[in-house]
Amino acid sequence: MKHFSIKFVHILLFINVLYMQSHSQGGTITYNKKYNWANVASKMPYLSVEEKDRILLTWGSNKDYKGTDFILAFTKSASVYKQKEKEENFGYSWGEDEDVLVRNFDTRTTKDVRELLGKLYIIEGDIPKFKWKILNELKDVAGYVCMKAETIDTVYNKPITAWFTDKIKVLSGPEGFGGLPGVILELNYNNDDINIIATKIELSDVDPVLPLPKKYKGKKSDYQEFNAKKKKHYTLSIEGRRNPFWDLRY
Amino acid sequence: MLTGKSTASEEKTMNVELKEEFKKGGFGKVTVGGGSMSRGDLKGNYNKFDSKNQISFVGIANNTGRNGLSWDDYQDFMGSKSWDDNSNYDYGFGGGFMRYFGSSSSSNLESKVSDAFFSGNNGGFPTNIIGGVNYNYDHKKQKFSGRYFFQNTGNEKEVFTDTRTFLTDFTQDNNKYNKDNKGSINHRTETKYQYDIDSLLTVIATLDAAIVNADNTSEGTSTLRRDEILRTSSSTYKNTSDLSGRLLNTSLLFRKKFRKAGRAIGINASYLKTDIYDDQKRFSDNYFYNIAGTPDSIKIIRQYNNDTLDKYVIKANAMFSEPLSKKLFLKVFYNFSSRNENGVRIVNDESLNGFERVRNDLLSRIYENKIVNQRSGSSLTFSSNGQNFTVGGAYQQVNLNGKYESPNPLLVYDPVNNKFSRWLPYFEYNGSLSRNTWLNFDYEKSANEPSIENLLPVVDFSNPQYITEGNPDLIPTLNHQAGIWFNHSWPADAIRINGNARYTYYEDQIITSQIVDENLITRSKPINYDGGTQFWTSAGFSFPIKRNKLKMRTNISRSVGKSFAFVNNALNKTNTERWSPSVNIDITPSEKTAIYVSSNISFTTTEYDINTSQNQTIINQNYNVDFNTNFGKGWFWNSSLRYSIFKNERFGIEQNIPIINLSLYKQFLKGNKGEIRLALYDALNKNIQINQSTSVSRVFDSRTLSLARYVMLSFSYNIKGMKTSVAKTEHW
Repeated sequence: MKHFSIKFVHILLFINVLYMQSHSQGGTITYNKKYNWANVASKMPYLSVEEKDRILLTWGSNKDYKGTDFILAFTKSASVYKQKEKEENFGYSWGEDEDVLVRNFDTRTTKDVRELLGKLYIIEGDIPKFKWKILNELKDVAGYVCMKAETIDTVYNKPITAWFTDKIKVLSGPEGFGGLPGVILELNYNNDDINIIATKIELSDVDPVLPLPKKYKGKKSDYQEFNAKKKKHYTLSIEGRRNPFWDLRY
Repeated sequence: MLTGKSTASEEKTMNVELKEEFKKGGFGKVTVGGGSMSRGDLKGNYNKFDSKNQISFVGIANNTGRNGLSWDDYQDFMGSKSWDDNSNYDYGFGGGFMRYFGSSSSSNLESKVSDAFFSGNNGGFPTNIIGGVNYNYDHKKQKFSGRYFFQNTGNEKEVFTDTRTFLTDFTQDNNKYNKDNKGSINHRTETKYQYDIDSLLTVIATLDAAIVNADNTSEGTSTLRRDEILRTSSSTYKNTSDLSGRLLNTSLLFRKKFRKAGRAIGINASYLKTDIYDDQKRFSDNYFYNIAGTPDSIKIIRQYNNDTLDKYVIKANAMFSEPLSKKLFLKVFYNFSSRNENGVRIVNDESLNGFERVRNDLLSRIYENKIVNQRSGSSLTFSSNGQNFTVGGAYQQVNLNGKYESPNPLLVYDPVNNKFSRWLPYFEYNGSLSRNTWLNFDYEKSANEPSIENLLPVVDFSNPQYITEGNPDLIPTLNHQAGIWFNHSWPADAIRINGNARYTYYEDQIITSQIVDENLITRSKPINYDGGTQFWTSAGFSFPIKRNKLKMRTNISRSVGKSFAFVNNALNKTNTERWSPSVNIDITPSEKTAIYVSSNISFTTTEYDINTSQNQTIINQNYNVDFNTNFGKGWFWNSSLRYSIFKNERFGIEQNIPIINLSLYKQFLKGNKGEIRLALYDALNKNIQINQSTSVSRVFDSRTLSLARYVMLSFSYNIKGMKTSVAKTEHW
């Protein structure tokens, strides 16, 4: 019975994807990205149980941390994901996140700007594909009923949970994740290392102006090479008993 | 079909509960050890926490001076309050909160619980009994943290000191033996309550209280010689102090934020009250010799001092911040503080027959001090894309009022009424020049009020050959400080470099003015003087030779200082230059073995303008090797060698001190919860603390006898299991 219902959902989603190709809308989604530093740090494999608990004890509660806002602007044929320009001024600027993730759905290619270990890369190539497992679980995110999907991050080998809605028919989402039968409104890395949750969704029949980079600066690369570099640094840091995320964007 | 909002919210609740569950934890450890030389060690800590509550206990009893409290113990005890904003709400130019560790005042009455975790080993034969409990609560609108801490510490210490002071035509040499016996019992509580009235308005109240009792006995002998040969005076002394003090410190703070992000108002007020009672004895027999070397006079001091000091400090601060645009940020602040001290020091001399006490009206004092400090200032910050520039200025006004008199109304002294006002500019740049490069530059002018010890016109005879006296005419010191630091990293190659420089120029610096009489007895008094400087630079470089197997860190620093003192009304200028290079090599060939090799050396050259033949270089060298290995099956080995060399060619001093510590331990029980350790400390029985330094017109060399070789067998139980790795974790 359960198998049947999942199959049924899959068929519906497939119909949705077909429908999406012919009819779409533009819009902007604002996400809030929260990086739960203590959770990430306490999972380092080289720590003793006591050291893990000590990190959670000292740093576990960060109620005042508001996170950072990101936007996903999309049209029928493309989407751009980047940090939202800051409106507020608290008298200190840390510098902006430089990553811009550009997806062209017509050519199915990327033209991303990615920062890695102090260097900028321009990544052109096919949109990365993810092996999603769609589950029969639902929840509400920013007023939309979303469905759960899971995959494994190929660099860190950590589980990723996405909540997507078939009501917004864009094959995109935050942090370059996409390929689901609808836009991803919530994304969780490794349970709760990072939570990215949509807070505001603006849809319109008029396509928004996509915030594409004004100029592309950086070394040309592809995701295979980029991810290999990332994985190398991750593995070396863990082996050297140092948290790799001091240097790496998760 | 895809409906059911209820399902969705249930899911949400479940997620939240899972997270709460994840934040639960608790860990604890107990160690019991006994050793030769009547050494014992008992230590336990335990904590338990969930998303709302954290409770922790710590207890220690030892006489080793080694297994005190560590950084980890501090975090385990304080929990989420480890990095709580300092209870110091003096608003100023700086953006964030700074957390300072380390003790501040001399009687340690005003120190915090946290200071107990960061006190170093000062040699001697220390004993420690410590107990504490901490509770933190954090839920919805309310936060509470409260702790109680008990400390019973003691130290028996014998110190041999040689001091040489350069005078215009000759030197004064002092050989001293001192035996200290210190003991203190402190009780301390700290509480803080925070309530968020709504999402924009917060109120915080704090209350700290402490009781301190300290007993000190200091006895010894001291001989003064002219040009190393001719004995001019000798003294045997015994000084005691029985001090008790109480502290109460409370504060209230309001913080209002507005819908417009960045706009904020902060107002706070605090009241600190201390009272100290100190019952002192100053006993000494002083012999003065003629050129032939025979005593020609004797001075017997038998003083009984009763000191009472009441102090209260009222502080009030206000701050308003407003973002003027996306990139400009304005801050306005005002600080008020009023420090009020009232004291009575009654000095009684023992009468000649030894049965009566006679008040010494020349040395007894009744005094009042009031220092009112006000500062108002403003700063403007430009911040954009990782670049932050702040310019600011403040106007500070200090009023010093003092009144002091003898219990005998016939002896009259002038009251002190001084008023100072100053403009204090401020500039800071902080930002990233490129990815992985950070640069900071700052310039600040600040003023420090003189301490009560320096202000009081009280004569202290505790060392009859070096008599000190306060100076009520002292004015605040102005510090001009400029600094720069930068760091850059190549994360892919694990290479890091950094550089620092800091320059300080002192105006009205507090220096000493000394009068040395024909018997070489020194009377010292603090005075203000312009022109002292300090310049410190350092550079560091860290890189792997073989990634994750062999790593090297090097650092070199240089500090140059110019300082002054008046000796017999002649100005002495002293220049000091110190170079200190260091190298660390971490060798981690496998998971089972870690070797840490390090060396640090310092070359201190001191030049005296009054007597250039006394110019000298002190060289201190330290070489360390730590070797940790895991033999397998729960067996571990840990050894450390520390070889120190102290050298001063001018005085023909060369001392080599090798310290070797060895321990073998076995972890057992399920999850490595138990550990038995056999340790041999200071295998060669060579431990002694050496201190060498130079100051204005003076060279100083001391040796402190300290706990040396002993063996200890200990058992530890850790409820979460012992750490099995032998390598250090990199925190940054």
